[in-house]
Amino acid sequence: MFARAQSLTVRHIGRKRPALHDLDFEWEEGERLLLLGPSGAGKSTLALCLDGLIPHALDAHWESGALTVGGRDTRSAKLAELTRDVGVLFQDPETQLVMLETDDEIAFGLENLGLPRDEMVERVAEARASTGLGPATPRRLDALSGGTKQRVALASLLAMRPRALVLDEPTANLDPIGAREVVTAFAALAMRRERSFLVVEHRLDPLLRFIDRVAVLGEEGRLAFAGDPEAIFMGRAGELDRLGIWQPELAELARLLGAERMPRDVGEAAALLIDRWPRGASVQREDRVFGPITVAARGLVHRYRGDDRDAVTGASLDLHEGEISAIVGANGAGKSTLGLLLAGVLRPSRGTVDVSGDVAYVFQYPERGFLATTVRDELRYAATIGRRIARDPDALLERFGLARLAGANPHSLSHGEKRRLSVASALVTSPSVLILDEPTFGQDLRNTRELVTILREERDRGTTVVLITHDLSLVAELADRAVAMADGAIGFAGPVDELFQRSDLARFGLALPPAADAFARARERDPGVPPLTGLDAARTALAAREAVRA
Amino acid sequence: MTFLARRDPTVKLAAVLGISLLLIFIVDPITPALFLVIAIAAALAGGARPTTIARALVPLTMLGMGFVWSNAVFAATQGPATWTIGPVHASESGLRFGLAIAIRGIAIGILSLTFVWTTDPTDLVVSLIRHTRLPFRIGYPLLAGYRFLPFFTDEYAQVRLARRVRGALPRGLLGRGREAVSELVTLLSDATRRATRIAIAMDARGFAAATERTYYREARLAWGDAVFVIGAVIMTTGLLVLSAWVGALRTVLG
Repeated sequence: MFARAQSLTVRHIGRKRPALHDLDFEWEEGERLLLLGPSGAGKSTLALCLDGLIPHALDAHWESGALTVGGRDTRSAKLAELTRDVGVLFQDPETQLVMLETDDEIAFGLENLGLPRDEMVERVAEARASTGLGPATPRRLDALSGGTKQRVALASLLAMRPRALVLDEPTANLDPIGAREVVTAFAALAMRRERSFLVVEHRLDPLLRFIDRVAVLGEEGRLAFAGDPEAIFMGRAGELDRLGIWQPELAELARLLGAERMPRDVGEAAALLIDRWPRGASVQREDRVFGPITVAARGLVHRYRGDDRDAVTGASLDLHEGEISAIVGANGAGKSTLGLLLAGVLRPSRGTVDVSGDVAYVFQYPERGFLATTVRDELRYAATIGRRIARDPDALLERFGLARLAGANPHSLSHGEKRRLSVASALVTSPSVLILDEPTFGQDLRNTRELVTILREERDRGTTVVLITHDLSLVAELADRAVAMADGAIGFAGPVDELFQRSDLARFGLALPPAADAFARARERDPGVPPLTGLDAARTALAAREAVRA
Repeated sequence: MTFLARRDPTVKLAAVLGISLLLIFIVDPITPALFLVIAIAAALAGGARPTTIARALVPLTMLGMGFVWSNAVFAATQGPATWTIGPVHASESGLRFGLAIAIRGIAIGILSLTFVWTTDPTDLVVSLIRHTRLPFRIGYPLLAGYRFLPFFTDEYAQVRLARRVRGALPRGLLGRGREAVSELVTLLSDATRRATRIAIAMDARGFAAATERTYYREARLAWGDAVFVIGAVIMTTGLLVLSAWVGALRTVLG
């Protein structure tokens, strides 16, 4: 046994409810454990306890129970011993890197251990090799992409040669390419089985092959259930769903097909599709009829002051009433700049944007735009600057599940609530165009589903909706049209399924989501399998076939 | 790397501080001008491009001209004016004093910038910790904070944009002031969150528990550092002697 919690109850300072509540939890030596739970279930708190940071460096009320890690009781052990045993990789690369250069960063923990310089040099080289940081990796950290920064953070933990690694949502802040980079590095480590791993993550599909057991925290910081991945994802999907926990697309695909075994990677899922997909079941592209053009952009060029290249170059685009468009592409491809140009927030250096009606823009970090001191006033703010309130604010609060928080300070809300408030206050004037920057970023399953429902309602009311996103599963489910950008230019604009069938997706910094990837690979070997974009399309196809047969 | 870039940051910092301190006691324009020439030569030898130096000289010179002007005019209100141009009276002694302060400022400015241009921030912190007993619990968080600075300007622009889009309408001086405070509060709460996370990440890698800390970067003093110090002392003395010999040197002592 590497770590064991017995009736552990820990409450953060200033909170009424404990973050971990009477938790019993086991983590075997050498085990690769996946920890799941809805947001606020105490996953990160548990990570901090395992590292000894709670209670040694962070104050919290240790209300009851005990936690042993590596044979030591964490409350009586020294912090130095605990941090040497367990390394934690946090979510945001920007707030866990300390130094300015790669090698200094990797050596930082070794300096704290007081190692002689010769040994540090040796361990830095070893850690770089095991995370694939070659001589071509830039020396300066600020020149690295998010995914590479996260690999440097991982290398800096490995250099300390910990017995166990905790990875707390290591890809949540990364684009798909960066996420893949980190997952690949993790996979290489997990295959070697040299230490124990505990992973908290919501992009589960790429991990399925490298996980021995799944533990699920429930809503009150208790252990809900645990078991091997197949038993959990195939057998207890309903419970996971009720808890609002993201599930692997591949497991859901297998359940749709009535399979009992869970495919552990896209290759296995493709084989399953070839074996079981009912031939002839497919979806016709829905030819939705859109309203008139609401936004017409012609030859947009924008260059930020001080930059030596255009952020957006020569972009032309028509958006229609009742249409959801998704702007996709790699970080730095110009997506947000295009969104801000369409919204009229930025002025184009060249080109024109014609908008009929008004545009509302929802930023990625909603709290930066909060202007009032209560939720209710935030929603009514539009009125104080002379804009027309077109929808009943109280009804919106009700619709967005914020009614009981009407008197609260917007900054005190949870991530999901802040996001809902920012969308609600954008809708209060009933804008004809709604643009959302990374609306699902950092959101749990429940919030994401809620948002999808709300945006569909908006589309049906005739609003022009624009999503700026990395999340291709969301695009497949929700968007009528995809606009893919690379290096400031629009490289593709058209139906989502057409984008998914392109061979040059990587040019846009994109990769097919797991289910769509399985369909694509199955189709390479068997043209009878349709090129579907994801689970939503698969469900529709199977239902349509059932209907025909009935 | 140039000779200057290879020098120990603490030694370099001491030299810059020493010369700057000395210049404060000198009140003629010729002596600091000599030092300015040497500072520019040092910057060039340290690998700074002439355009970079020129760009740094522009604001320094503008500031200096302000000094010259105000001293020349101010002195004329106290004593007899040397020149009268329209309504403006100026005095020669004031002009001389203003020039001295201005050139001294420019010389100290270029010296400090030469230090910045030829010094790696990580080397500086490690050297200060090892040679001046700067506590590492202060030095390393400073370095982590230094990483923040570019994010700060970025985030400030984002906060302003977000508030403008939502319709923040600062009216009048008071409104503008209130808006600036709100922006600052948003920025600070962001920064606090960031700083807390960084502190947690540092402690997770043993920073809080460190007792006998070692260093990956070497901060060894080399012979070159001794050469540098001796050279700096000889040059400083030489310039002072030269200035006195031509009869230009004036200090606060008279």
